[in-house]
Amino acid sequence: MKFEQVFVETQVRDLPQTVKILKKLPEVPVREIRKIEDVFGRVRKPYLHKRTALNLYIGRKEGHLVKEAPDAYGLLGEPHFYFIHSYNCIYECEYCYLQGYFKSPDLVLFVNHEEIQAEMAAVLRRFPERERVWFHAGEFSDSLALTSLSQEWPLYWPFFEEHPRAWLELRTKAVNVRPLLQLGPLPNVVVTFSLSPEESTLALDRGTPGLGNRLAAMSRLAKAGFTLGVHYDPVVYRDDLESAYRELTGALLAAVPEQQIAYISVGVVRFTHEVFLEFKRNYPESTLLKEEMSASFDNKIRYPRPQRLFMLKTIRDACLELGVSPEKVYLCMEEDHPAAQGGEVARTAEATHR
Amino acid sequence: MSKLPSNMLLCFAHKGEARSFLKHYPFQPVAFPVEGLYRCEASLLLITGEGLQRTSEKLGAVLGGFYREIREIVNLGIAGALDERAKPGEVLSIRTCYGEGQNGPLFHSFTSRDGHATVDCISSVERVEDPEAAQRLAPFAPLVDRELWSIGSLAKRFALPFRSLKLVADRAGVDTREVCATLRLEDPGIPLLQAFRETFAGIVEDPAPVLAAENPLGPGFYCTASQQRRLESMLKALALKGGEENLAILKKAGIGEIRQRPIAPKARTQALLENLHALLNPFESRLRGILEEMVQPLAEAGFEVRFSPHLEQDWLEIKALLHNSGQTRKLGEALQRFTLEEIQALLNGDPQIYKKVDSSQ
Repeated sequence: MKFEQVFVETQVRDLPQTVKILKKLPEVPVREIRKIEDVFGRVRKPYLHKRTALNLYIGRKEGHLVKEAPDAYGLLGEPHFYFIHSYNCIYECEYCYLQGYFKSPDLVLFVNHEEIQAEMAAVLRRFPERERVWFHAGEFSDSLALTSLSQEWPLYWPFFEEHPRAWLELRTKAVNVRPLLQLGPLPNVVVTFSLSPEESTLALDRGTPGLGNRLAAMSRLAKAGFTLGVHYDPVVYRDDLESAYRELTGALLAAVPEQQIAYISVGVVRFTHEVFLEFKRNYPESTLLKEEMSASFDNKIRYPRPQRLFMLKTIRDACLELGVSPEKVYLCMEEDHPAAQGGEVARTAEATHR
Repeated sequence: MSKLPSNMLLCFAHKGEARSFLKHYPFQPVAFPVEGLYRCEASLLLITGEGLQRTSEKLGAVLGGFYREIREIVNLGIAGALDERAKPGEVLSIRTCYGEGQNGPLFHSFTSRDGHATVDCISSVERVEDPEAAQRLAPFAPLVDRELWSIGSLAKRFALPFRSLKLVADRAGVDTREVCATLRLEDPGIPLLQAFRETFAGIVEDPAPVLAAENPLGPGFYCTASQQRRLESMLKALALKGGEENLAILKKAGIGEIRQRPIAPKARTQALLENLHALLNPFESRLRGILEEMVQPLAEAGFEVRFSPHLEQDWLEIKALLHNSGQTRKLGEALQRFTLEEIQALLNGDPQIYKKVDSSQ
């Protein structure tokens, strides 16, 4: 990965975290700016410029640093939040909602991690009776893909050690697990990987590590005692859906003992209207364009309901038949959300869709 | 003299930049309310004047008058380097143009058709005459000009592709005045003409735009505008899916058989669209087939059955007009012969029911 320029906010220029990041990029021209918003997203930068003209921004996240996650995020009944420490991703998955989100593919790293943790602590205080409060790290970026550069997780580990009720979910397609292995497992940290059958990975997850490498990375983490999670998301229809996911789950269970898998979430491919337009513009030859998807009740582009439920349930059944405990498999079912029956549509699994 | 590619509109800000082109190709002035328009065979050349507003006004007028004969807009001119990424003297093909308005950067950007270009340009609202102005624009692009954003914007509005070749004249805000003076003496058009000829030397011209046929399906069919849009989009999706030509797809959808049906031409088009939809959506069409079979007893008894739009819910509506007790009995019997649970299991994607259906077929 090569950056064309680095933009640094004046207010964070001398912070140790900024200095550490810049040390890793000695060749890249650095430009000082007042605020990230003065440049990032001010003009619409085409998404595919990330291939040849990617910039990096370093700054301080302001406003809400920790936000409530949509209802279907994670297992039901537990409070879920996500925190924002970076924007955008080095990978180029064709279905990724980020391609229509920020109006710029440039990467943003926020370095005010202490403030983010202070807000997490405040959230924990709001739920004194809860055994678990979840904090998700992969909402707007891959949690591990840039960690060698951003080096943030050593700053978060002490927080999660100190607050056992706070649970961290990292979400990734990266295989760069060395920083985590150096930190060691924590009982309240779940490292989750997005997995698809090999053909889908090759066809749609551009620039990401292959399935075999992801499973090998998971295996290394499992052997080191980490708890892992899996996202079968997004699922794309295929005639051999059942056997493909049976094979995938078999390979998963060969790499990671079932006891070390906290959960498997399953979600079917879907697009907001805006992201779909951007996706069509970016990947006019994508195999996803031949799928049986159309504008649905909420104007999102997805398979018809019977088909997507069939897909979810087929995969769930395959997981159960291979010995995954039923309570560990959860389905991202937008239609179960009351909002899907009319009125405001829940963001539900849209946010998990990367 | 090399041949000028046809159906192009060449846009320059200043006549000085266009001088070489006017000499090299036999352009003749065109009598048009907008000054600075020339024609050479099937191509046009326009001197827009400097700045976003002038460019919008003149180019907008010319496109309004001539867009049917224009296949591509090519902007040629000088630009200033905003930092070291662009070197004075280079001619660069522009990838994306950004714009600056009176109140800061303009949100929309426009990308040229040159897929190999790697340099961006920002069009400034005023001349960049000091280093502060250059510094303000540099985060967005390494080059600055005064016109390209308007050209990109109008190209998009008229659904025309555009390219831009820029001669880097100076370091904007550093040595602008001197270089402008130099350019008055020298001819910036020479390197631009050379770059233009190199750019288009290896490009095979697109076939002339084909106007949509009034009736693309031939005799026996009539397409409304919305049917034609659906037809085009489904043919495109099916071509992507199966790699087949339109003709083969239409054959597969039964165009021959539908043409013979004793129904109205518009209804034939509708039937063909339904078949194309089924080809495009095999899961859904199979499901609809199974559902149809399941509600057959009700249909046979003369009742109308309707499912939720897009099958997004698991109910079905039965419409029955009862005139006498015989019909009530018929309805009762028909209701007994079908099971709602099975229909709902299908609509709720229960894999077991799909397996059951598969094994019974």
